[in-house]
Amino acid sequence: MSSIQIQNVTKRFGDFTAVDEISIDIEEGEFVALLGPSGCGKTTTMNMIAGLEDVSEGVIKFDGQDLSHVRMQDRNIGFVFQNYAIFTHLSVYKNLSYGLEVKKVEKPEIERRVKAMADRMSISHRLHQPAASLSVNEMQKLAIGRSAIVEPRIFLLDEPLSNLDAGFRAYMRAELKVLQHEFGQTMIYVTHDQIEAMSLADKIAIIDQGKLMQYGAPLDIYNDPQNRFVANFVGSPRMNLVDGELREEQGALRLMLHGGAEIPLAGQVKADFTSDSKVHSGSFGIRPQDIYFGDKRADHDIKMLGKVEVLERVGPKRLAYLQVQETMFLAFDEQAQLNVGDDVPFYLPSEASMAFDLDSGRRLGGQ
Amino acid sequence: MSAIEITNAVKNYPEFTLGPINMSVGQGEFFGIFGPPSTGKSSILKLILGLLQPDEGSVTLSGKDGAYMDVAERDISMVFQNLALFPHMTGRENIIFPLKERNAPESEIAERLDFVSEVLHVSHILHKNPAQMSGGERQRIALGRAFAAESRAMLLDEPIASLDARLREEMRVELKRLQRENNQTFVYVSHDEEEVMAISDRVAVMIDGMIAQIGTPDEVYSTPNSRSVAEVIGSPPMNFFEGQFADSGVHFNGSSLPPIPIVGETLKGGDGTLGVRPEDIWLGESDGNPSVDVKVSSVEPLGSYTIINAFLGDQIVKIRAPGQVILEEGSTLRVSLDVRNLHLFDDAGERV
Repeated sequence: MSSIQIQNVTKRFGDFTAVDEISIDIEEGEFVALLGPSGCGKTTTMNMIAGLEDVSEGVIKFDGQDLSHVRMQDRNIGFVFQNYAIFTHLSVYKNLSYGLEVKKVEKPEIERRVKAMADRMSISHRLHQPAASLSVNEMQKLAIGRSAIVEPRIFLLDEPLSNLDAGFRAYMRAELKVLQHEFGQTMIYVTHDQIEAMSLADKIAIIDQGKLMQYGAPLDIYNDPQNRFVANFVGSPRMNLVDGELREEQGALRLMLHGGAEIPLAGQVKADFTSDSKVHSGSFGIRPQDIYFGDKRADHDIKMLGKVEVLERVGPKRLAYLQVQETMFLAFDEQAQLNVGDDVPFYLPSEASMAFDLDSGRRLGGQ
Repeated sequence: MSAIEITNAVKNYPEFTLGPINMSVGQGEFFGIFGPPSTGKSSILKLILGLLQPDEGSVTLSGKDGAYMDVAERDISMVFQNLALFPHMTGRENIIFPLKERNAPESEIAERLDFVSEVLHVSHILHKNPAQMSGGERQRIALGRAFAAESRAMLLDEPIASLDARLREEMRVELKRLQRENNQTFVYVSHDEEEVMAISDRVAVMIDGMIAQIGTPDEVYSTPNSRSVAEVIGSPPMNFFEGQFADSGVHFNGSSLPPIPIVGETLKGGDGTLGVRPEDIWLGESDGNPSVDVKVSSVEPLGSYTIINAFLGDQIVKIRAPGQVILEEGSTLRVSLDVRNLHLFDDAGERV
C-alpha cells in the first residue's frame, strides 16, 4: 500500500506533449480512475507511475519518496492489461503461483494463497487445467487474480474489462470493487468508459489532450462539472449541451442557438450566464432526466417546443430525441406517452441547468 | 414482399451448426441481430451477402432466390468492424469508389458525395488519406462508402465497436437517422446489447447458432421468451432465483425469498426460476409487493441512477435505484419486488 503524489508531471514525445503538467494526489488505499477518450494521455500517465516511461518534467512520489531511480521490478507494482498476459501453456495453478515463486515465497504459503485466490475468483474447479482452456471471462479473472495474489502495494489496471461482454462487465465491476476493499490496495484504473469509472472509483481524474480537466469523487464530478468537457463526458445518456450566442434585449437574455432555435434564459441559469460580462458565446447544459413534460413546476423553468425525432429503448427507459429547429434535446419519456413525429412542449428546469463559456469551456456561476 | 427472407437455412461447420434460421426483414426496416461472441451472427450476414451458401433452406432477396444470384447481383453493401479502406486513396476517393466502379455519371457521383458527407459529417476530412484520420473518422468514411452505393440493403457487422463510448452514442443516432432518411434496409449485428436495442426496429437474439427470439426491443426486454434471452438482455443483468412453483399455482417459492405471489396463469408445482430486473426491485416496502431484507455489498453511483449490489442469503442481487442513493456498505436494507414485472421460467428455461 502506498500513497502517490503526481506533481506537475509533463511527458513529451518529440514535439508532442502527451501529458501536460498534471498533478494528482492519490491517498493510500484509494481507488482512482484515469478517465478520458483514447489518446488523451491516461495510459501514458499510468506508464509513468509504473516506471515504464520516464517523466519529462515534474516528479512522481510514492509515500513522499521519489522513486525515479528505482528499477521498475523493485517498485512492487501489479499490472493488469486489456490484453491479459497469461501463460496459456501453463495451468491455472501455475499462472497464479508464478509471481509468488519469483518472490521466493514458502511453498505451503503459495499453496494456501493460490487456493484462496482461486476461490475468490470462482475458478477453483479449473486449477489444474491449462489456462488456454479458459473462457475469455475466466481468463480476465485469472489475469486479475495473478496480479492481485502477490499483493503489490499499487495495482494498475489498464482497460481490464474492455474485452468482456456487457453482462460480465457489470459482474466484474462489482467483483473488482469488493476485491479492492478486501485488499485495501491503492488502485489506479485506466478506462475510457465513464460508467466503469463512476461505479468503481473513489476518485476520478478526467484527462483530455494531456490536461487534467477535473479530479474528484464521482458524484461531485457528475453533479458539479467544472467545464464543458467534463459535463459532456460524464453521465449516460450524455448531458444535453447546446451552444449559441448570448443576446440581451430589454433585460431579457436569450441564447441564440445555431440553426435558429433559442432558449429564453431565466432564474439561476440566467444569473450564471451573466456572472461574467465578458462571455458572449455560451453553452447551455441540462441532463436528460431533468427535462420534464406536462405542467410547469417552477416559475423560472424554461418552456421549449420540440418534435419527437427518435425514440430509443435504453435499458428500462425510453429515451426521446426532441428536435427544436436544428438542435436536438435528449429526454426520458418516463410515462411512455410520446410518439415519433409528435410536437410536444417540454421544460428545462432553471435550477438544474448549467452554464458554460463556449470559448474556454469554463463553467459559469455554478456550485 | 420482404427485402430479405431467410427460410429454414442451415449451415454446417465442423464443430458448429448454424440454424435452422428463419427471419424476414422488411423493406426500410432497421433489423438488429444481437448475441454473445461466436453465436453465428456474422454467418447470417455472409448468407445474405452470398459469401456463404446455406446447406439447407433458402435466402430470398425481394422475392428472388439467392441461390441463383451471385454476390454482385445481390446488390448488398457491407460494413465490417475492421473497415477496409483503400490506404492510398483520399476519403473522397474511397467514398465514390463503388459509384466509379459502376460508371455512374459525374453528376450523380457529386450528388451522392454531397449527401453522404453531410449526414456523416465528413466534408472536412474528404481530402485526407486514411492514415491521417482518427479511428472514428475512418469508420465514418467506411460507412460513407457503403452508403454511396445506394444498395438494396446494408449489412453492418459491429460497425462502431472500435469507437469510444461517446462517439458510439452519437454515431448510433446518426446511423438511425441516415437509415430513415434514406428509407434503406439495414441489418445490424452487434454484441453490444444496449446499442442493438436502442437502434433497431426489431431485434433477433441469437444463442448458440439459433435465433432464440425476434421482436421489437420493447417485447424482447419486457417479455423475454426464455431464461437464456433474459440473461443476455439488460444491463445490469436480470437477477435469477431458483425455486419451485407452489402446487396451488399462486406462489413461487425460492430459498431466501418470501413466497412470491404470481399474477395470472402459471404452473402448478415443479422447479423453475424467477427473474427480476434490477429496476423492478424497489427500496423500502411497497403496497401489495413482497419484501425482504438484503445486506449491501457495494454501491455504484452512476449519477442519474445507482446500482446497489446486495446479498440476499448468499446470492448477490443487483438493484437499480433511480437518482443518487447513499448507503453504507454492510448495512441492511428492506427491498420489495414489483409483482407486476416478474419473469417466470420453467425447469427447461421457457417463459411461463
